[in-house]
Amino acid sequence: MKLNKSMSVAIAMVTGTALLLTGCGSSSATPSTSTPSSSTPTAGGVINFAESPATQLNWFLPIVPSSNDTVNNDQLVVQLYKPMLWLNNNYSINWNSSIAKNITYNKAGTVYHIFLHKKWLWSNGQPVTSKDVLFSWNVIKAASSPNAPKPWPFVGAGTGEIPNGIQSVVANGNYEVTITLKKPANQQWFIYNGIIQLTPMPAAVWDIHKNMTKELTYLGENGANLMFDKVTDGPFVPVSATPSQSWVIAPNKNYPGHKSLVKKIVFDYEASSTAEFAALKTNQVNLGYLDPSQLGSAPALTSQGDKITSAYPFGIFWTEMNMYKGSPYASIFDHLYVRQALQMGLDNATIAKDIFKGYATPVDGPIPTVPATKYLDPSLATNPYPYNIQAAMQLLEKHGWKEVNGVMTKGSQQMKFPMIYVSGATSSTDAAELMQSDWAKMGVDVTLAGEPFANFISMTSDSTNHTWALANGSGWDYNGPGFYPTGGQLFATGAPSGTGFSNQEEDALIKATHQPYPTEQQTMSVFFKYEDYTAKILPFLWNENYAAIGVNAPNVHNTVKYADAATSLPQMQYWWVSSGN
Amino acid sequence: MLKFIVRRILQSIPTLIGITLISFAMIHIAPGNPVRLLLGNHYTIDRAAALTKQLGLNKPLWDQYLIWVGNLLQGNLGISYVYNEPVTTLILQAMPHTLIIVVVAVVAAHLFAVFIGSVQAYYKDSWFDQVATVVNYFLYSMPSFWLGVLLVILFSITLGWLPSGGIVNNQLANPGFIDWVRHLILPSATLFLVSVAAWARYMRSSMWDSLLQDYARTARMKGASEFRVVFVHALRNSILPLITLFGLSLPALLSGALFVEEIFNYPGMGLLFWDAVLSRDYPIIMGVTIFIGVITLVGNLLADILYGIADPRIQYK
Repeated sequence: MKLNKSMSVAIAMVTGTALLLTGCGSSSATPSTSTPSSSTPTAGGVINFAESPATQLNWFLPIVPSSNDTVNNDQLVVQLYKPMLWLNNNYSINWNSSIAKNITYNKAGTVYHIFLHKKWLWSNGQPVTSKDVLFSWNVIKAASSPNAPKPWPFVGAGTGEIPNGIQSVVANGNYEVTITLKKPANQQWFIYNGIIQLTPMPAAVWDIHKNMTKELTYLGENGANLMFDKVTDGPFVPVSATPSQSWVIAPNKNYPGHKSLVKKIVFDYEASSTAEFAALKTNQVNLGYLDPSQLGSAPALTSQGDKITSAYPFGIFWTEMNMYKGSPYASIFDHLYVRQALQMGLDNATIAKDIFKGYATPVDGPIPTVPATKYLDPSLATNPYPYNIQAAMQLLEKHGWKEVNGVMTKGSQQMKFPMIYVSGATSSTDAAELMQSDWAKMGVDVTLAGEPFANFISMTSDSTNHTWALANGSGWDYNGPGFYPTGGQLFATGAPSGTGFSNQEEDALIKATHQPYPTEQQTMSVFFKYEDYTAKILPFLWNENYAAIGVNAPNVHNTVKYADAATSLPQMQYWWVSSGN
Repeated sequence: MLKFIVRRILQSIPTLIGITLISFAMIHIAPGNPVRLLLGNHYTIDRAAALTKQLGLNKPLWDQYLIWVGNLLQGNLGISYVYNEPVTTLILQAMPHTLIIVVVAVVAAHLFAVFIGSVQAYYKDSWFDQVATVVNYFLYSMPSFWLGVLLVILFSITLGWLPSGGIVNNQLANPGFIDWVRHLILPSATLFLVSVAAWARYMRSSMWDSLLQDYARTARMKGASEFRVVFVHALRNSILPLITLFGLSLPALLSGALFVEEIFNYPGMGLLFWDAVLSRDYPIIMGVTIFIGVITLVGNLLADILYGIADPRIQYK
């Protein structure tokens, strides 16, 4: 399993907006309200869907190069192309909305049979078949090469055995594809990370070059052009695209699934969350979002009938500790008891409740409690390291640390840490200041420095940068290209998205989650062991999962019900607009 | 005159090289890694290395600069990291949007400033002059981004008369010319208001000086009407500073448009540049920088030429 460090929610904090599912809520314990969807759906209306600030939609093929892989692009593309597997809000597979109707596999985890629905059609009336899947696979395979022409390589290269772990992909008739792996893999892992990437593309229209390099160049040159996507199998077809203005899609009349009732959906560019707020207030946008710092202005929207909703992506946030080799702080952070004490000094519940006004939930490990999924170990329902300053101090004192002039000291070492945080949003500054204040009570002296997002990620991903000890403001969401939520790229020794943490037992537990097991129960048992250990070993200090705060006009319906917020990919064909509001 | 223009163009070349050198160095030295931002939630060291190589960012800075200059000399400003499209295409798409609000603002502001400044000078120290001075100072000291927000609050949110952003109303089935004009009003008005205040102050001062000159007194003695004295005899001389400002104002207005376009979601050069800075899209940043650099130099040249045309005492050598 390959996990990827997600900064998308951090971007949300920086830019002062709630990202992703603007206007699309998930069920949660937060103070959300939902749009009543009991009235009869009616045809017509336009939905103006606000993009997160300064976001350009710039790639429209379902096979995506690394540099264009964003949730915002995905949100539009999945309206045009049905994915091989659609994930629900609880991270289970929605077979009805997937190209695959079933997947079988052998016990060894080496052979997988994908059975395709016969119902899916391209917008030109042609059926979606194995040929289209094989075309996608051939493009993926070629586009995964580091030598592929610009703008490739494919973003999923190296994730879910793609492409090098796959022995063969063959069609067994029009509606069955068989994949054989070179070595056994955990079946759930391969389905969620490998098979999920095989979104069919219209071979009859796009497969026009015999030479694959020419074909890749052809697709690469047209990927940023929405109007290239004339033949789609999703609920929508493209209408127009204007950078920094809007991207428009309209219902696909030949879509065999639930047909959209709206006239069109407009993805609106927003220069800032302030501009987006004005657009909501003046009804130029009827599906938007609020930054937590804008919650005080929410009555200006609710007074005109707008509904405020919350949506939790399947993701986590943390505070990083600089444990890179050569870091002067590594020798302190390498001690588990230090990490435990720091974790106990974090009042995540108060931050969630008071600073993020209830639109956040504390995280206690690598799997968030919201949204509810089968991946959360029930034993982790209670926080292993609850907020307790006294206990944290006692733990440090037990290991020889003493408070000298208000700072915990042991020999020549002092708990004086420079902490960077993502600047730009009041809420993130407030959270960092509360952390500083609480840690000060236990003798941990933290100096704060706000950094713009671009600087923040440059600093924390540079293993030679020792100017920071703690870093607050980044996280992950498990939204592809691999979806199976284990932490090889994050918590393992030398993980490219880690910050120097290394533990052999952790490495072994991560590796174990990639192996095949006879039953799902055994698979989950191994996964829970990894999860439990990771939660308690604290490779990062756990913070909160932040909700996207959505706003929708009173006449826009079904956005909450069909949010599928865990992956941030809503089913927009169910959205509709009532008249007379 | 032709020799003067050619000489000025040749003198501009080292200036332009200096602009590109400093801009290129500053942009690349500034913190923030475009590869890190482009990969976003799919960052790994392998992918970062591949993309860095693909974008040519692994080469020494001087090498990157020479490649950029080489491409520039062939009319190629590079390919945007974010849009995957030629920078020239993106600039040409955005430029008309910016030009329309800037031209509307500049023309309206000049006409208005000439009128207001002249009347203020003629009725110096009157209640009109005092009120206009206060209003001018108020507008002059107000940043364009703040004024823009105020206009949105007043005309979009409170009164609901005008749209708060964009260039068309996407909820209309067929947005037409009227809709387009409605979207131009607030961004143009913002640029207009911040420009007119400064220019009116210049005009007032310049007109007051002119009205005290001998030729104005002579015109009066010859029986010319006050209208003729002010708007025919004094105006031509008073307007000289504004002609200089006209050329110099173009780059300033393009820069001012950056904030205005950000506030109004207006897809012009300013917004293109703003987004490029946020995403560290070096080719666009450099493309827009060189474009504004050229506009600045052309603006200066234009100011000199216009000054000569307006004032016969100026001789070009």
